[in-house]
Amino acid sequence: MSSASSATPTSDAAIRAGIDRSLRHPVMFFLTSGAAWLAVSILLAITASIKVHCPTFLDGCGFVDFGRVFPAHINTLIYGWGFQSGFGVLIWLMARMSRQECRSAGTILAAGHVWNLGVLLGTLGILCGEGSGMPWMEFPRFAWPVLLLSYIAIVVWSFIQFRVRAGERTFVAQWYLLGAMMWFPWLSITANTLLFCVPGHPVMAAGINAWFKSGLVFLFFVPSALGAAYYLAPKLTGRPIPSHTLARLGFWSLAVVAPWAGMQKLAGAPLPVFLPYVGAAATALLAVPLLIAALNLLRTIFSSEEKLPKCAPMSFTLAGLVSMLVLAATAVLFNLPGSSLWKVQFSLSGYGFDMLAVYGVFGFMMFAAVYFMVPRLTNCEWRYPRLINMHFFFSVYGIGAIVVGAMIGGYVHGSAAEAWLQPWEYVVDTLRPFAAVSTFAWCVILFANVFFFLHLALMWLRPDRLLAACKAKTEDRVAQSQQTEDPQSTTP
Amino acid sequence: MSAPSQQPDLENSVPAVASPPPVEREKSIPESGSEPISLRTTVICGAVLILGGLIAGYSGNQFSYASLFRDGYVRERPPGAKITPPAPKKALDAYMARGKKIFEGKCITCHGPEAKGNGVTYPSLVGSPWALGETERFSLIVLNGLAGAVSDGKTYGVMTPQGIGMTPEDLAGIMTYVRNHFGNTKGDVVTVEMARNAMKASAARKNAGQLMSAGELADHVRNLEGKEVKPDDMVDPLTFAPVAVAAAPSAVPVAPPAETAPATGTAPAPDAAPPVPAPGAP
Amino acid sequence: MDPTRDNPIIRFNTFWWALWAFFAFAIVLAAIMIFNRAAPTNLEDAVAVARYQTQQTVAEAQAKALPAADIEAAIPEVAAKLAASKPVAVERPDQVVPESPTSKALIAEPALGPTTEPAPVPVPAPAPAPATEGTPAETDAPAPVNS
Repeated sequence: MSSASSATPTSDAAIRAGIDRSLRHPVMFFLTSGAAWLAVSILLAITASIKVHCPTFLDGCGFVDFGRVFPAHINTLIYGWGFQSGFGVLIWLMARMSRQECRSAGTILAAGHVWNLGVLLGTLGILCGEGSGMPWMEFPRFAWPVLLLSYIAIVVWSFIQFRVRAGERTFVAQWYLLGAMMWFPWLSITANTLLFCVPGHPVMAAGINAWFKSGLVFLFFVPSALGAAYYLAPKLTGRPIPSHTLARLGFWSLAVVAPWAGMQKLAGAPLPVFLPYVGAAATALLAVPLLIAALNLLRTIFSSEEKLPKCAPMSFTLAGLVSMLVLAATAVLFNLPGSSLWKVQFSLSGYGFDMLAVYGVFGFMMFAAVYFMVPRLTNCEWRYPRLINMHFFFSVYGIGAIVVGAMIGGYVHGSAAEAWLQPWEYVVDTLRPFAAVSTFAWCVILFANVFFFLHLALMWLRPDRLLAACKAKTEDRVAQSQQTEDPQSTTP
Repeated sequence: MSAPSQQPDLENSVPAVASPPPVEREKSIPESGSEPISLRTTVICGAVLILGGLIAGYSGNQFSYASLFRDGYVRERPPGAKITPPAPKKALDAYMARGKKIFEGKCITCHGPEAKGNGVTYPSLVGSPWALGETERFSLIVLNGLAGAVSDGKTYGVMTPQGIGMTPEDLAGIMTYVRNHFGNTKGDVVTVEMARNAMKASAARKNAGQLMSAGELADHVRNLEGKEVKPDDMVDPLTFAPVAVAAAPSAVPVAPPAETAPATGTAPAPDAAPPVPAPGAP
Repeated sequence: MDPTRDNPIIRFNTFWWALWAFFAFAIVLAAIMIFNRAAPTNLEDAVAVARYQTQQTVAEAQAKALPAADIEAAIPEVAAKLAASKPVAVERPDQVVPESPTSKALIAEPALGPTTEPAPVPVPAPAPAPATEGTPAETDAPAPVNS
């Protein structure tokens, strides 16, 4: 941002404030509705998880059969929470980095409503039994064109902002965000056309579906998370990213390797045999871009002797980076064909891996970005720091429990399934305690996220009493910081 | 301050911060540095690359769309399992066992559990001259299906061809079963060799692949060629290859019970490799 | 600031380029699919054509053989049979749980107890017979035998 000749701090702040003002409504809408869908998704996750270890839970009601409530959970998590928070963060980050005010807030808001309508109708379709049965694509057939078109109506303006940006410099974060914006339509059109519109070989359809699932994780969610991380880490600390070359290497290795990943889920199926193993190899190789990005950013954050800013975005960014390291390690460890691939192929581990990627890596980065953006968008400090602390710690505990319960437990589950002389009941008995741990973890995460949603909604709606309280709180804090050298603020 | 209204402030028009507002406290993103890539990073990434390469090479056939499984793939034996070959059985029993499986999997849905059909759309196989008569005619019906009038002159429904994916062992089994069960007592065995000849004859038809008709069947009223196997000959129950059993129990009363016990067709030992796929398979 | 880059023409162009970029993969996919639509070259595809034809013939014949009117007419008959085969309530119990209220009632009034003759043992239905035939035979057994 320093390439302009006449950039003074006040004009910088004025530009930033103008950008924030132009984007206020679309972004706050996406964040709030995303948080609401997240709460819905976690409720569905708890129901589904209970049904794994107590199958008679709610067994009279057809709407919450496991085969309906689990896909509903996954799809609301991805399309309701994942994409909407991604939209909010993506368009704000791109606008800020390109220093362009948003001129299409109305269109984006309208498209966002259409997106929400699509997700709502799709979820109702799943719960009524009309789901397509393909993992991560379970919305009934009508949904995907609706979602794709509203997606395009939301993100095309960010492309324009990037193109007309002032200055020649591109930020690392911008590469990742551009990539994410472009890769999703490719994934979506390919997978949806080949699975829903064109007749093809059904076993290969399962392969394409597995490829889409992996592509969504590594070509949309992880790049969006990395974009947010590469923005927040240098921004919060004021320190540069240590190695530009390494960042470029990381981006291109992700772009080249990630499209090959995904089919390892079908190892052993009657597919051409190289496909699943290339998928396993690519997923293991994805540890490289994840490691590169995590190391680069951790060096950014910890590179100097100064104390870190103690604020919510920083904590969540660090949590996201640690999750990224764990994801890199498990991407390698779960794809070894002689040993672990057989055990995690059809077990709870796959679910744990997905949740680590979608909630651990992507979710934490999005929370970090949300806690950074919202005070700037709403001109209001976060009112209840204790809620933020609760959100952070309970989310971290929850994800930790998911890693232990689902990933490790899934490995045990898979090993039990490999003992093919035992009856299947033995396998389910092995799984039961880990499924119970997963349920507990989701309950903990629900607890955290309900407060997140309430806090966010209060920040946007701002009834007048709250307004006065916010003002009083900030004045207190400013007074405190003038007395002590070390402010315990929630924002930098 | 004016009288507090309870309307939410959606335009965020009233700032709720004292100075400085958060946007002014922001730092700028500095230019990225150009430190060299550290050795540690290179070593770790190199190790991952090698591992990835090994995983990709595990399949053995890169980019070959024709291979569906790894070269030299052998199903794993469960730990502690001993491979005992299945005990030989009488030919008639072995073929009938195979035929029973096929019948209960495919034929029972139309012809019924007693093979009596329903008199309207599915004919009865009990005492049917075409089922009990010449084997080539019967085999062609099974392989290619049938439309039009059947042996009693009535027209029932259309019979679906069963030949796709049917092995000669299956065909021999189902024909033997129908001819020797449900009250039919033909007493002969249709062998695998005869079934193979039937499949050749079926493929050599002028209009191969289409349903049979009574007229065309009239050209095939003959028995299939093949070495005859007596109903009491001992065969391997899986491949139906003839098995030379050791000499029959001699007149000496000390006859090892192992000679006769396998002939009663006990269930295979639980630690033998079962021929059916494990339930965990995808 | 470089003012020449931020003008309506560039914005308009970028909009359409972005749309093209979004759909580029789909266009490539369509091109690959169109150019790969070859005649069946392996046995599986060639045989599949004949199989689909036969399947259609069979399906039509079966649909013709399954007239909806007959099914509608048969439903009341089958329903009556099913209703008749429902097991009736036992008036005189053959087996009584000790210490239950029923047994206590019987001690008071022995006339309602089981008869001295044992209930007829149901002859087990022959093995290959379908389940529906077995049910009426079994439910005949607990029917009350009034002395």
